[in-house]
Amino acid sequence: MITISSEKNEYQPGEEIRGVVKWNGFESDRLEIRLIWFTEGKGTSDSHIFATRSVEKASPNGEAGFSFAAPHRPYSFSGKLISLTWTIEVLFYPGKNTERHDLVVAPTGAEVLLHGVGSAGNKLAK
Amino acid sequence: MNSPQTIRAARDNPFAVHRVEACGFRFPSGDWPSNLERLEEMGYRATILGSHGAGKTSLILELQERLETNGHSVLHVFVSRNAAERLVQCEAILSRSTKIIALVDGIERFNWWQRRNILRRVSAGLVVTVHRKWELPTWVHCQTSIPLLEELLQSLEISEQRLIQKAHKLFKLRKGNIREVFRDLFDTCAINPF
Repeated sequence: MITISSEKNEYQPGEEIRGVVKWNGFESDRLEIRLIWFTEGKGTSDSHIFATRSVEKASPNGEAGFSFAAPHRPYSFSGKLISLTWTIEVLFYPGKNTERHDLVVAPTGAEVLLHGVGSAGNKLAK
Repeated sequence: MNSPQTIRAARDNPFAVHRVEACGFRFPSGDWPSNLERLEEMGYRATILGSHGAGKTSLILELQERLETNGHSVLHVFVSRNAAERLVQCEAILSRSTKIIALVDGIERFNWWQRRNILRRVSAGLVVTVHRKWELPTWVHCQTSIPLLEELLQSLEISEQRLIQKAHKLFKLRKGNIREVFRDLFDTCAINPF
């Protein structure tokens, strides 16, 4: 099992994103904790790795802390055609076991909603 | 339940690509283990046949994952529309022709010589998507149908009757191209209050 927890889920650009990854029962040579963004909606998904922290020779049970500066752009946003989500992603090698923990990065700490998108789209900020 | 009235963001659109992809490929017959076994018997040299929007790309992407999980070295190439890029892609396939199973999505975009070279020189495995029968035997013939459309709508948890009816109309209009049907329905859910 893999769990990712962060001090909070909404961040302003430049703020420190801190948290802990805990796992048990994973035989792994190495794990990576990444801060990435990805898009969802119409068309092919796009993604970008913003920062990575590697943990070498991870034991089957353990935990690792992470700390990243919240990026200045792009903001978390949702429109009718595309949503952009920031997330902490953990990958275990080999085997590609992964886990994700979604965050909001935006000046107000709430996902930016583009014209015409109602407040129900702001589920990450809740 | 997903209905157009509750949609607020692209990620919540029931026809968002990540949701459609999560439905997975539906074989005309058999399941993944039996079809993988058949592909192995074919020496991993086969075609995935089907018209536009019938699921060929979905199948080849899932196949890549399954083969890699089973320990195979795989090179997946989505053949570019750009001639210069196709040249690079062809070289990449040929340079690893004896070591990898090449999964070539859209081999018909390569010219005759490139196709010929790939067919002759790739020896470890070659699975390609085609719109018409080619020189390799057919592994899966992807075909769409109203029952398949309904099954996918059910997987996407679409219960709104007007949306289901619209899907049926679009299926005829798009001549069975389910990818286009779902793109149209994405727009319907994103733009129209319904």
